[in-house]
Amino acid sequence: MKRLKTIVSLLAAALLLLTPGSKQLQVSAAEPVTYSLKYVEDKGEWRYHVGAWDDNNAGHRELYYLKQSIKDGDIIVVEGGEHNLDLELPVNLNNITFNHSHLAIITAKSVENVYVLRDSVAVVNGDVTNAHVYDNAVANFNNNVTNLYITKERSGEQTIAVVGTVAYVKTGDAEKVYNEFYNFQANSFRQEEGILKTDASKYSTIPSVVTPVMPSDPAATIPVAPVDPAVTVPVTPVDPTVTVPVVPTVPTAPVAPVVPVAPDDSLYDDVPKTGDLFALPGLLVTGAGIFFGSAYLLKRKSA
Amino acid sequence: MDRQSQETLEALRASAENYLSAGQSAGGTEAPPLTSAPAEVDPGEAHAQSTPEPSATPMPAPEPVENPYQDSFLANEDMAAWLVVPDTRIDYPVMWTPRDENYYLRRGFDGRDDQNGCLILDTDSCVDPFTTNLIIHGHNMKSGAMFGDLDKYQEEAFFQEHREMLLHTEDGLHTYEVIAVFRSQVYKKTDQVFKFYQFFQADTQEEFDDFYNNIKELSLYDTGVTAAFGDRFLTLSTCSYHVDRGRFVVVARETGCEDMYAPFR
Repeated sequence: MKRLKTIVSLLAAALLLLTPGSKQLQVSAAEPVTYSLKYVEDKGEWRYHVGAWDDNNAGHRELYYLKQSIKDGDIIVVEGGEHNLDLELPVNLNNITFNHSHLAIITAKSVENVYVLRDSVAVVNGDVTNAHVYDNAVANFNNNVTNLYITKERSGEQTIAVVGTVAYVKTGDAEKVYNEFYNFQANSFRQEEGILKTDASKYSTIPSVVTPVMPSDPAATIPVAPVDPAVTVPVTPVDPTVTVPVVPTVPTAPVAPVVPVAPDDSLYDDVPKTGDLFALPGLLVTGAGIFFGSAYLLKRKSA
Repeated sequence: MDRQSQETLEALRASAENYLSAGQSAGGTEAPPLTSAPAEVDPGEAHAQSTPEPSATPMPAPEPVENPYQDSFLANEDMAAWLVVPDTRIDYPVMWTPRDENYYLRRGFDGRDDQNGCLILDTDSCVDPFTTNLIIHGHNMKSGAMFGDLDKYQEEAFFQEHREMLLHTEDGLHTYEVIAVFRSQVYKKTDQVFKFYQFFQADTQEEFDDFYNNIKELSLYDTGVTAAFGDRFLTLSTCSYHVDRGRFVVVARETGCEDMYAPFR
């Protein structure tokens, strides 16, 4: 049966490739939409609003509708509050911003950019390309993170855990870079209140040499011969009784780091930096406890 | 805040309070009521006001009063003004150092190291003569010091109770009313977007409208306060964390100005 499935898949793929005009196929993606999420006290539930949240505007709706309308590339902003949020969005998100969130768990296929702002507690399920964690935020990433930026604006006391791998970590503030680390093994990145707890054997302080990918010669591409569209490929029905066992996800091997270009202050306008760099916030032990407990329960639930 | 800097600041505030209380007890030296700044002054009209009819009884010029912050101005020539937002902790000197804008970013009024720094008047702003917009930068201290409480203006209720701002300069007292409250950020030099921190002077209606329309559009709520070409603004800016290099901004429109302070003794 598996073989049959493979053959069907290959035939379907070949059909798509050989269809005249398929190479000109264009996908016109709609503009990304920003959804602000906030707990509405008088409704007793989390709601969403398209665009920035406006307390004066009652145009917010139940999250049920958000799940119907959200699409790849959209943006989520979780606004602060006293209530937990656990939301599954089966799309590839462009951005998630946690803005003073109490405990917010977002599950997505993947996220391009995650911003966990000061005083936020966030859990993200799904691979993340760029994760930005600020000040005293608490964040748990349950899949791989490509680039993790730990930024100190007022204080650098982030508590962060990553279940997957982390290719690149940079700590610093608006003025300078403190540290750069590379290639954290799966389930090894731990930072507690600003202190890296990962065993030194599980990451590197020097970037790996990345073999440049040479652009392929366009002339070397194999021409695709047009096929008579009248020819159809028979699709053999698949036996529905046969179930394919789900292979548990194995933590991936450390990936080659994507060395990003550090933000250069000279690129930005010269405006006085008025962050509170040295204030020491209160301990987040309780928050961290709640966060790790919830993350653990979530993990058990999903296992 | 550094203890010595704190003491210096307290002493300066006490000095100002003494002046204010002395002025009130003397009766005649109390500050006269402020008059609203005209949006546009017709030169002809201004001339007519300055040359009253011969038959009219000449109005006595208001008696100048002593500047309550005289001691502070004399103590540090970098001080350009003193900012007060009534019923808040914002009650600080404003420093202006064109030679090095960031000089007081981490220094107290007395020049000693102080993580709170001082409020800084942007070097492109000026109080003599006044530019259309005065931008004051201050640290968003977790302790609430400096502009640590500025983001309370996110709540409209806070705005309703703290609409007014006072700016004491060497010459007089300027009053302001909050007109817009918004979040922004420091942009890349190449970004072609509205940058509140680049507006200092409006010489044309178009320049004024560009700033005015943008701040009103960005405002988190409608303050109900409007402005017209010729009005002046006070912009308070501090760090915010909604985005990288974020800024939280409160803009106020000047509602009154009176050059009522006597020259320093």
